[in-house]
Amino acid sequence: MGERGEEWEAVMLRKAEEEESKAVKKVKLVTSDGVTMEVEISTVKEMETIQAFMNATDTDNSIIFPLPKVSSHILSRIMELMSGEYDQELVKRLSHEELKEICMVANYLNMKTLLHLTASAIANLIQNKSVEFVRHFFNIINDFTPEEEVQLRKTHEWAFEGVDED
Amino acid sequence: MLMEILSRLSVKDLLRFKRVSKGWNHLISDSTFVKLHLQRSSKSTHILLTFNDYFYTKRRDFAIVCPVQDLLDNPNSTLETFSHKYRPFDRNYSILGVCNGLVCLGDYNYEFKEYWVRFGNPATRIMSKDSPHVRPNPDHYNYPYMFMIGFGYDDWSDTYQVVFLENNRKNSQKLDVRVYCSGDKCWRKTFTCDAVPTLTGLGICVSGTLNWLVFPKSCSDVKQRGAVKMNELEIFSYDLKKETCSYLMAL
Repeated sequence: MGERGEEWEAVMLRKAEEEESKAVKKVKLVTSDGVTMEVEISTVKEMETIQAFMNATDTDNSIIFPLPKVSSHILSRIMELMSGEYDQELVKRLSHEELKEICMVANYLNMKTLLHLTASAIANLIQNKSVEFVRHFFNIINDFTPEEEVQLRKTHEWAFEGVDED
Repeated sequence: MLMEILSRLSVKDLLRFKRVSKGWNHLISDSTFVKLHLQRSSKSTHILLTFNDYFYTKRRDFAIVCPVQDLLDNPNSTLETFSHKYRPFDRNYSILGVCNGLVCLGDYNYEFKEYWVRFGNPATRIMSKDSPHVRPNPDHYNYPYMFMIGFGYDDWSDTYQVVFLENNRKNSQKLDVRVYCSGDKCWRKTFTCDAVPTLTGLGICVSGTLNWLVFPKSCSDVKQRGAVKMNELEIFSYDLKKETCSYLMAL
């Protein structure tokens, strides 16, 4: 009888654990434009920055995580990419602005697969392109003097040959 | 994030994009970034072909750095056609070795009997200046005179090193070890050990050590060497980090 009792206890304990894990399944993410998105805990696993925070704070059932740098539009795009298992075709459909933003967020939230995917996609877009194209693409202001620019060009003249037209 | 993107570009793109802004120039030149880029780059994409000929009694060395894909795509190519396309170095140097895509070249001045090296990077087409000169002492040595040299990378100190070993005839039973680290102003004599019966001149770099095939230590008489069996040969190994040497059995 004693043995049975222990078994019974063990079953109850396991049940209680399962209940608990079910309860923390959702995480609320609050975007920069004030939208609250409820996501599965499995989704958050890939967001290592949030995961590290959760592990460190030993949170209860209601997890609310503010994302002041992420808009709801970009977050929903990220969710689409994640549920589409990071399909290359989905990446191709993104605008340049979306791609840059998502890459930035992937870096911020430390999402390895997404960062690799978007960084590679951006690298593909700018490879073999001119310096002017790249400045325009990233909205970068040229802070070199004309003399410095001439010098840099002269040092690696061959790297400026055979570049795509803008 | 920028580092993530740029580390996926080719060397040619990066050299061009140094001109985008000061920040980009700084990032692309940064050693942490360079290492990340090296780590991300696919390995074994190029092959270094070395060959030599004799132009009136003067030996000439040639090096071609050729994309492996190009070799496969054009099986009918000759050394001649390739050397027009992929001659990375403007002078005749002998090749001492390759580490992480960096080529070490050696040169010798017959008049002054001096030896020096350079480092060339075929990907960036940048060549270092001549290293300080080192003076071998062939006059003091019996025939056949031979020094041992090797090029390697030491992960621990993050330096490229050239090791020059020479049996010192003034002190007949000793071997002098001199090391030149990239960027240094001189060859440093690291230590002296027992003389080594030289067999191969060029060392091979294996995870932080340079290795030469040598005759067994007991075989000091040159005349006996022809009778040495293959399984008696040894490997003389120099550890770049610890600056020590040891013998290993070759077979």
